[in-house]
Amino acid sequence: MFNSLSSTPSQHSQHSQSHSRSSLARTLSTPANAHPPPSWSALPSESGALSQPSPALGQIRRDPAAAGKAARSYSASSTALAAKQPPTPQHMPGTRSPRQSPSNSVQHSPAPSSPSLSSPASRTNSIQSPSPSPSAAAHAPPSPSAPPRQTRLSYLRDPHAHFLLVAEEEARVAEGTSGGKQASKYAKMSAVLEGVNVDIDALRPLAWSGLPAPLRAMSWQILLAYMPANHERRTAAVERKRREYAEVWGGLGTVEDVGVVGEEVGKAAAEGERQTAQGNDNGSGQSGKTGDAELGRTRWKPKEGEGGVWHQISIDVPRTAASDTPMFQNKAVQDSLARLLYCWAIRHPASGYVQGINDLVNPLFVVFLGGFVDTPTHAPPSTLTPAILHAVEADTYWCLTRLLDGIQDNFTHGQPGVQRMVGRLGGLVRRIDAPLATHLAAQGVEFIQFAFRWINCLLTREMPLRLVVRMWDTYLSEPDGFSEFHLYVCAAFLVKWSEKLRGMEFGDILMFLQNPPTSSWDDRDIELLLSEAFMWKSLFHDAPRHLEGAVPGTPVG
Amino acid sequence: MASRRKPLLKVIILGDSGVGKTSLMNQFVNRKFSNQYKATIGADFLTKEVSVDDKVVTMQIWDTAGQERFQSLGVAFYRGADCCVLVYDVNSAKSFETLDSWRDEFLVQASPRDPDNFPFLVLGNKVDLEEGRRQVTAKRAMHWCQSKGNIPYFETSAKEAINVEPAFQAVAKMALAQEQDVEVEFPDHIRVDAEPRQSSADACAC
Ligand SMILES: Nc1nc2c(ncn2[C@@H]2O[C@H](COP(=O)(O)OP(=O)(O)O)[C@@H](O)[C@H]2O)c(=O)[nH]1
Ligand SMILES: [Mg+2]
Repeated sequence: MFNSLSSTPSQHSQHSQSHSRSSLARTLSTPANAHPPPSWSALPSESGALSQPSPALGQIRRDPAAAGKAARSYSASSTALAAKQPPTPQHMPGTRSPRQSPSNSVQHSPAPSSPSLSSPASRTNSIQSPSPSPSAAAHAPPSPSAPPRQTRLSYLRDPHAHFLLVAEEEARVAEGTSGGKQASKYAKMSAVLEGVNVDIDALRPLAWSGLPAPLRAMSWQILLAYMPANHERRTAAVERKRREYAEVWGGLGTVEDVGVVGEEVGKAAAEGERQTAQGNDNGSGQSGKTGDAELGRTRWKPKEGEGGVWHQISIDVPRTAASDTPMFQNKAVQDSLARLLYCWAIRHPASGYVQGINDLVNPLFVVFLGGFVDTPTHAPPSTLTPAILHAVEADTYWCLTRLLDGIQDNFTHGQPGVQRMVGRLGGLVRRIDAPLATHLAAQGVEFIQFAFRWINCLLTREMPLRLVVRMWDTYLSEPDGFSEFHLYVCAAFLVKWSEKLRGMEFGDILMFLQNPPTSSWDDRDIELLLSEAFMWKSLFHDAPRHLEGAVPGTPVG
Repeated sequence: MASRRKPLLKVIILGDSGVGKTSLMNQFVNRKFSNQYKATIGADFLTKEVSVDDKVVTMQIWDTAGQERFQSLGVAFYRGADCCVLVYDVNSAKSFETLDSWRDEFLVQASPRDPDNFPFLVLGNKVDLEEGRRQVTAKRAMHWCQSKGNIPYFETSAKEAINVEPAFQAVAKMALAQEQDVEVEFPDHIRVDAEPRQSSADACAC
């Protein structure tokens, strides 16, 4: 999984040049309107705390049965805490039950008052979705007779909470292990999110420097203005949006029964369908990793009309997945992704579906799924119940819509937004690292040749997903994270490799930039990158052109 | 002539999304097949050294994205190409029918000096799938190739590594011939082509 511990000091020595750059940053005063000021000096120690073996994507345990209803329990079990140890394959899901089993003495049951204790059967799901699958029933809540263990959980004290949060226990542990910084941040974040009206201005600076995983889904949804800041409106608003989304896909397509499908049958059916759609996908070997042996699975298909869009989406979705996120290989997940992409495309005819939008869905989906299940990147199929997937799909759809609203012209005809940013990136790099720009030009390397993808997919192709997620904490709290701040991140990303690149020729440069060595990066690397980006933005955003060439301490090497 | 460096051959791979362009390039360059390749965005780039008639050449292969939306990018990637490989999926009639427009699009955007004699190659991919799925016969494909000035045609499977090596050998050979052809008049065409772009980028800086 995430080897955030594997980085060694020597591994970071290659960034020493960048370190010196950020010390330059420390001496620069940030513009008054620049927002929010990351604490430069706090970076090393703070990131030390943050780079705890990624609770990031996954050590959350929440009650899948609570899916349809607004309130969910979040139980900080000892197991979840144990997951803070360096992750080992044994921590992969599948070895742990997705739900606390009463027999497991180290785990806490949800608090008795938690609405999540209502059984799936008694629960009314606001989305007209198939009833909870048998697999959900199999993971039914602990029997009432099992005495709820005394919990030390601090729930978000909001009967209409969309998410219930844990703060104290994890914070205590964090305090014990990695200093109080993380803990106090956690406490601060929880306090902000527990407010009757979440103070977005207080949330942003906290999110800028990285959100704790359990608070991420809610924070992102609030930052994207999907979930109302006001807690009283929250449940109703989210439920309405989920219903509204169900109406969208209900109007655009039809649900058909796939019948009883085992893994093999499901695969064949999926393949057959793709074959008839166009007949050019081998389809095999894509599914099955996480299994699909669910009874009575239904499958949504668009009505006639936009066959081209659907075809493109259905060949892209199976190849969206990174090998480190088997969850995306799950057929039901892929169905969700395809449907939400299709709905978005049809409702946004000016752009329609453009390859790469599928990559932008991944961070949203994985984070929102993390609101329901453990280790969302490796969620066992049994936890991916229809009710959960419907909720996650709907939330992802709306949040994708919000996100893309800010970068619409990246995907309209001719992709002017991407083209413009590629051009600006060239200009920016000429200012901040002239020798590199000169070398690239001399080698005949054009920015469009590598930066097109960096911008079209917002660097999701160049970074491991866990780091993209961390990056988006910051993007979502920047005023124009995706449409503006990203430019400076790309610049920082490029000049990071300056010395190496200046020793390379055309072919090697391109291959390097199309496959930059970030797989061993951890939160510290990404936070350094973000700080550098922030610095470049402070210096150059809206800077008059006469600054060109007059950069104080232009880094050369 | 004596001081000339190892020839650099620029090859562009075009065709509908999903026909197997990325898989073919990786099979040729890395000799492996994976169904984990992500959809290509813009264009991917790989190089490989091959020997053609006892001569070592470096192939620069540009694997492009198939979606129309990216076609405006063509100019940036097609310019200076020595050979263009058109790929379709033998199990998809539509992917074959679009070859015409891919070819036209390339000629417009790359604007080679002598469009009528620019070297193309056609690969009919995924021949490993069962015969029952096949939608385009070899005869139909070859007929089209003939009508476009005797374009060489190969049937391949990136998955089973069928015919991939011979196809790219042919690509290298044709690209080399083309490159030497151009060389006579424009000794430094790669550099010359690559640089003017810089000034236009300057103009839109900041
Ligand atoms: N059976 C079979 N499948 C292939 C072959 N080549 C590619 N594929 C599959 O077709 C899909 C699209 O391949 P890809 O190389 O990404 O196509 P591109 O969009 O043209 O680059 C993937 O699922 C590949 O695994 C082949 O020769 N045989
Ligand atoms: Mg491709």
